[in-house]
Amino acid sequence: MTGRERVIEAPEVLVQGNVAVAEAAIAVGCRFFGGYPITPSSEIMVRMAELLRAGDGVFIQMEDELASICAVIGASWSGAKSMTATSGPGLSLMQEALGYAYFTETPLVLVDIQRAGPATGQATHVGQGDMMQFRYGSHGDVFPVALVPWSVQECYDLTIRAFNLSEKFRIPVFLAADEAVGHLRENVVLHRNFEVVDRVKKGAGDPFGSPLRDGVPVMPSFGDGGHLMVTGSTHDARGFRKVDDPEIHDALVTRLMRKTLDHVDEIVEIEEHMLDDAEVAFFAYGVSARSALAAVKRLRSKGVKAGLLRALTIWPFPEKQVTQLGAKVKAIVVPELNKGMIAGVARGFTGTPVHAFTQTNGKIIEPERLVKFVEELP
Amino acid sequence: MNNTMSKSPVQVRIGGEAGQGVILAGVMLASAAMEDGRKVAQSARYGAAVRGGEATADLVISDTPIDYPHVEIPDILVVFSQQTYDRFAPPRTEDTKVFYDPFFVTPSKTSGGSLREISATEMAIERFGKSTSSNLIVLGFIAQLTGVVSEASLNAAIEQNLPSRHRAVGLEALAMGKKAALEVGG
Amino acid sequence: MTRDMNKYLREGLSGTRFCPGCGHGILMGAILRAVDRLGIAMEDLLFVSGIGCAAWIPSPNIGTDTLHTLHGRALAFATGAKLVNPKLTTIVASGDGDLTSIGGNHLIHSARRNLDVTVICANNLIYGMTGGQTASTTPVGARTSTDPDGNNFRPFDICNLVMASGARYAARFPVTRPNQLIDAIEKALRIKGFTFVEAVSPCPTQFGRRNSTAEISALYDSVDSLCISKAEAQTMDEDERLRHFVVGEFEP
Repeated sequence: MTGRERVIEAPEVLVQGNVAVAEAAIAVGCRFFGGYPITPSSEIMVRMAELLRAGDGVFIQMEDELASICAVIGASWSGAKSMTATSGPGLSLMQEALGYAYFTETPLVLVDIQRAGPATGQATHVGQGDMMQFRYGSHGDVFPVALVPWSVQECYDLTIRAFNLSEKFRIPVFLAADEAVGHLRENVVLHRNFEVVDRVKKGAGDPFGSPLRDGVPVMPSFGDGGHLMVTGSTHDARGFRKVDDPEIHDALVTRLMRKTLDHVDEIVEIEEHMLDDAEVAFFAYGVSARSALAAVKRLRSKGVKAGLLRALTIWPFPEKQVTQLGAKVKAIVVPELNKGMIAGVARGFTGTPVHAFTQTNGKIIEPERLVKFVEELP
Repeated sequence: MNNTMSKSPVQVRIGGEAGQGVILAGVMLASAAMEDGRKVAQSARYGAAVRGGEATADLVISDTPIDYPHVEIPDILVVFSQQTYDRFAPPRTEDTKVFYDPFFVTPSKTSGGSLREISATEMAIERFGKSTSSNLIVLGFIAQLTGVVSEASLNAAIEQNLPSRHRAVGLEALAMGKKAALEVGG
Repeated sequence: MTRDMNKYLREGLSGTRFCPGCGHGILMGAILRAVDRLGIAMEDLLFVSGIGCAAWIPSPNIGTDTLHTLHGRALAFATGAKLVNPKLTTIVASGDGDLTSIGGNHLIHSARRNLDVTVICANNLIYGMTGGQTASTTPVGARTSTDPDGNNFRPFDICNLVMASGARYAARFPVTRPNQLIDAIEKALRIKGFTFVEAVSPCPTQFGRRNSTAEISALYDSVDSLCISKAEAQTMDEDERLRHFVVGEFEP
């Protein structure tokens, strides 16, 4: 890696999660950031401004979130790995363009530092209330990818993974982070020991079609002489609008679905903690999984056989893993900083009782509350 | 007060008003603890306004990876405002060491834990003509009395976190805190 | 379109989708003739458009890279594409509703930043594709499907708007004066920075038939007769001026 003289090189450093996101983006090759300030994500934008301007990238502060995500899509089609960062209110504004990015198969990374919503809510306090917006925020059928970091180290590692998945599958990828992780400072290694995946810019085939049921087409950039036709209307393999053809619409929507769903095993990452002999298990993600892990250890010290299944990928949903977990334990507890969004999803994949532990007070969950909750389970 | 803070994990909470350097103090302490070779998780809680309102900085220091990243029961509680004193003290355990700046805080007689005052604001104004280094005076004070971080690492944290024009004052403030601690004794 | 312009058209197309009498075909010809005069290579051209009839001028008709975006957001998309690849001659071609109403914020901020693009606004004074609703450019008194008794709100003077926001050049001409339009587009493309050409392009289908001018040549005559020079505009009071189109070039 060259030309990144501003990147912190120390083996272990103390940085904020938001800063780690920016460092990772630069390290994996992001060369465009368009954004609009919003608490609690703004540190990402500020750091990206420093890093991109010190190197060979482009930073631009746009007039609003609508413009930010659209600029990111335009930048991606000019060939740059591109990113924006926001929080819930901004994510709401970006939804139309996210559908466009999905439908035009535009790689990009959107970092959401979730705060307590709805509406303006509590701007400086944590929430995990955007989980369904990642999945269902767009109109029409979309099958997005959302990764959830639980630490500053994972803000770094999963940002890299988000770019790689985005480039590989030509799909917008969410980093579904939250205020607690984004503002946390921890020991972190900003390592360079990772694979970098780049979109295929040159090759056979049309830019919007594939003979394979889950195929990812080649993606030339503007200016390459491909005379591209990029459109958010239903289009054929070359890009011609086909707004009245039922077969083409169905085939396109289906192929885009399969790009994600046929690769669930590759995309979905989970982590198991003390599940071997567990009788009760937490299924958790993001910062709430840290509360759960602390609770597991305390429950174990009290003789309760508790464990944790942690999702690093929340969309596509780890369906198989939740089903397997349900077959193993007598009860599943899903702790989350919303009113039970993911607990409700988990219930669809197991007959084992799934108990929602919900907290919407702008704070992360104290482990003692989870310990007590498990001890009082029926 | 002995150097008991080599325990793991140790939880530190610093409370005050936004603008008093509460969060910077948390970052400095975290930086020093990392310099000491330990794992840290440093966070802050504050309102949407850039100035004013309550602010707290939490720090967990550990020799092993930290699960829950916020403070549950502080081992060390530093308060720069009556509001945060009233909110967090008396603490939930008698083991908590409470430090307060009497310029802002009048402790109640029923406080649990050990209480120690450090007139950091007055000292800062007297020496530097303004209160902005009071947070560092407190850090020098508590580092000396609790051993939560080493002196060398705290000095290094100044180098790492302050712009060069503020470093001399920063180092002097830490030394003032240490001296005050030596005077009152453990 | 004459044969020498065919090289700019995308292969495999048979005619445009514009209504009979739509001014957008004339405007498309004017854009391509200006491009042709400048000798810009096809692979160095990027057309970005939003949603609406005018957004179909480049997409799919013009055989360069085209980015057919969301309603109102063409300039935001163009911002990212142009900044990453500054070699692209970037032309945003879209309608008045797209650029000035839903996309108004992006228009003024792109001008403020002096984004190096040329914006060509096909102003048909109405929402054509969706059925003739009032636009932010509809003249006072003109009838639309949402204001059958006549529009009460003043229209934007778009050229003034972008000049006040920092544009380097703006011009307004009707499609009834294609040579002036070609000259203006050529000039706009030559100038580095944010440039803007408003083409008054009558919509017989939605505007004409609601305003007693359904017949195409009569509509064109009436639009042309409403065009006045800046000097003539100075002699009119505001109400009268608002019923006309002040044509010409506007420079800082």
